[in-house]
Amino acid sequence: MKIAVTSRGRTLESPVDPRFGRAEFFILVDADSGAFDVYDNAQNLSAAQGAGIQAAQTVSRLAAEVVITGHCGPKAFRTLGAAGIQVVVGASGSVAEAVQSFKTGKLTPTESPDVEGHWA
Amino acid sequence: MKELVVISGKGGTGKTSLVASFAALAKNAVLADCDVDAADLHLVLAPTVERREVFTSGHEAIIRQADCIHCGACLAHCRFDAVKTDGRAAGEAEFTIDPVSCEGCGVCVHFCPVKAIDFPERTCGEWFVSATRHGPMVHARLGIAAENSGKLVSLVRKEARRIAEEQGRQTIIVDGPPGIGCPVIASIGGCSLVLAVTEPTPSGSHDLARVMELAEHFKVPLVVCINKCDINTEVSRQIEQEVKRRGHTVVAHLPYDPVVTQAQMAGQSVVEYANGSLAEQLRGLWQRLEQEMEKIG
Amino acid sequence: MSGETIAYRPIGVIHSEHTTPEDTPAQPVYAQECLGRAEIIPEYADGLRDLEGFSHIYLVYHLHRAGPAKLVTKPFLQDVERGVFATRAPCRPNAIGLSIVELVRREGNVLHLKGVDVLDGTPLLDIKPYTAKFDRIEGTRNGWQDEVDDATARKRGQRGYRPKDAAQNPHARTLVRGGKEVTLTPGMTIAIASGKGGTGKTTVAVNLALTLGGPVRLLDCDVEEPNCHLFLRPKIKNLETVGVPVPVVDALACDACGRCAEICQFGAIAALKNGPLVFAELCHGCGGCLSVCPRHAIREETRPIGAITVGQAGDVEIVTGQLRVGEAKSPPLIRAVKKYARDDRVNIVDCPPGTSCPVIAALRGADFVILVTEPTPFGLHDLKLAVETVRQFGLACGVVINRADIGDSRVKDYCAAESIPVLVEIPHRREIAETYSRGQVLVQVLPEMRALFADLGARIMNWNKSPSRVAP
Repeated sequence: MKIAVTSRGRTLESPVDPRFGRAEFFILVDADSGAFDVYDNAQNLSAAQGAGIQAAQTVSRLAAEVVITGHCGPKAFRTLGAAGIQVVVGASGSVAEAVQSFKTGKLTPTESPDVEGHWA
Repeated sequence: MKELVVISGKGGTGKTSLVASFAALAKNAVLADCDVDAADLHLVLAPTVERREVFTSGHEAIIRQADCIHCGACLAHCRFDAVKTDGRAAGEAEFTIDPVSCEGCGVCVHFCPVKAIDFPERTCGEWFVSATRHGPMVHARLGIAAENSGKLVSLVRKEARRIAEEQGRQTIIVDGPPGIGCPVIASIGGCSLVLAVTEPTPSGSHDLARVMELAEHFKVPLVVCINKCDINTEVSRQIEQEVKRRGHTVVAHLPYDPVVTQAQMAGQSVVEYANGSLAEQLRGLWQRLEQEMEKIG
Repeated sequence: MSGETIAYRPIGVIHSEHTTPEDTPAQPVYAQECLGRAEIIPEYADGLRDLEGFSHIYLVYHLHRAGPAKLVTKPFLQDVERGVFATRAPCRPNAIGLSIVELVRREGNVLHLKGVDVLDGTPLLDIKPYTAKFDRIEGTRNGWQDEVDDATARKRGQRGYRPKDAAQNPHARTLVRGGKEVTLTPGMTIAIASGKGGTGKTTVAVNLALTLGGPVRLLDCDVEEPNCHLFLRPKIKNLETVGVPVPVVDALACDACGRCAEICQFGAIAALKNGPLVFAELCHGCGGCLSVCPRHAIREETRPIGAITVGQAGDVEIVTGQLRVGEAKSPPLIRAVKKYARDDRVNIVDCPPGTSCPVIAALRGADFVILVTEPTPFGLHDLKLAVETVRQFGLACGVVINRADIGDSRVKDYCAAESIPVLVEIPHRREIAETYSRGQVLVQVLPEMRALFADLGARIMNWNKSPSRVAP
């Protein structure tokens, strides 16, 4: 299973980026092997609008099945839902800790977006 | 970190003058002027610009006349009346794009059969990080007729947050734009507290109702200040009732006082300029706002 | 057969500039410059496909304001009674109207038309393409109409409608103000703007509208916070919902090629494996996705962004645009409000504050801009921005200084240096602030304000006549 985690840096020790659409990086972790790849989201950081939607398309292209982040707005949530991707919000700490919390069931997928859009 | 956004719906209620006083009263704050369309806060805070950045947003279409075959495909596809022609027949007419009407949709660029339309990024304004006597300030200037002030507002807020984090400042005070549209939505989303400044006039109370609706729509906590409350005590009372009915609180009733204009003429905030009763009330209001933000946690 | 009733449901509604039957041209040929539009109910929108290939179309409609049927009637063109079926008079047993109009363009379910001789709000029953292949017949007999010469036919056929030409306009009025004769030019548009909000823009708009005398249309383009109606308390006559076109994807026809998302500059379409996902609130309505879709799987529906009400308060007709709360983009609504400007009267536009796109949408096409400001540092700073904006569009302007005695002379010095006329100064008085706070109109309560606004009106009209009308 592939998990995309929003990150402020390029390693598993980097803190989770609380933002989804305007996250600095996506770290795609293979939950079984622990291997990971890093994807730069810089282009989206300066998007005029709809950064969440664009980011959702990016993780959909990466074939992630789960997204772990801090907060997720309604547009990103709708897009991820339509792409069949589960969304986990409320993550903090490092990327590795977030993945671990998800695997042990401390973090579970959410049924709804947890913030309004435009929260920048 | 707490972020207070001061908005008013209607302009001219005294929003910026209040923000200037809060700036003087707050300890360790970052200031952000999100009224990017007609910024005024700098007139009181006299910032020294330390960093200056160009703001670009979207694209604009420009026809390269040398390569144009005058077919008119751009005209046929444009829905924003941005393609102008000199009126000659297709095959001869010269087509140009009015940059003000151009929406930046790129449809003409896509359909131009000879790819004779460029689509560069559009420069829409500038933003600044400055130093003031009350701490760092982020402000901006949107170009005339420019679009997407919402994006510029988001940028100003983001920069203010970055500075607050970097310098360990606990409060961000935002002077918000008028209205209830795109820039206002961008300035209140996700903030700690909205202070809506109104006045006891039909426009003031009408616009306050729309602002409250907006804050409710975006689920941000809101408190209200009635400025110049003594101009019409009856309307002030009605406003207070309506605010209560909707489950919000009026945190201050400020009287009309010529000292506000005098302070502005002197390039100072009211609390710096004078020590009278209005200054005293402003100090009380700021304390109350700090408590409200603390409560929200 | 006899007594059988046939019921039709309208497929849409025709909008035009014609609001009174007497002022509506009798035939499209007498309404060549009249623009209008037909809005088709979305459920019939698919039926419009390929219509844009035709330059002209037939509109078949219900003459909803026709009087009772008369079998013998005087046609518009002649004072001789004719059998109703030998005329096109509206008083028919079945009040069906027929017009051939030019199809300028189609925007989704909206047809933009030219040569519209139809009353605003007319229910549309059917559309058919006009084609020279079937419909143009040479060498016809034209019955009694051959008795009417062309000039008479044109004059009578136009009825009360007068094309845009102020000089011949029967509605032109002459006012005498301060001993000077001033001709108001109907169709003139005066925009009231200010860089900063709260300077008294609405006050100037409302009081000027009431002072000019005679019919005036006040267009409240401050659609985020429209306030003119709070002071004029108009009787509402009409309501229109304004929408923008947004794409709707037919999932069955779509093959998820993703081209729609690729062309969209506004991120309003997400391309996913199983097809596109549309975010209507981000759409700018450019139609790019429709045009690029190779399978024609996208059509457009209208998403409402606000409403326009038309009301009447005395001689002032007030058109108010009101943006929906939570809606980010106001220019389409502002442009819709401005379409209500009339050629036969003075139009006053209350602009939103600022200098960005909504203000430009409101200012464009104005003949004169009144900039309202205060003599304070904030006021001066924002006035400079407003002047810069107005000059960029080559519009002429003058300044009204509100609360003129609260600050200093910096605003006046600036105006003098920039050769911008200071039109009038409104003093700062507690009774003015109180009158305003009670929702009362200054010119109706304070006599000296009546004189002041009459002076303002006269100055603008004089300016309009003066030969030195050059944009600064």
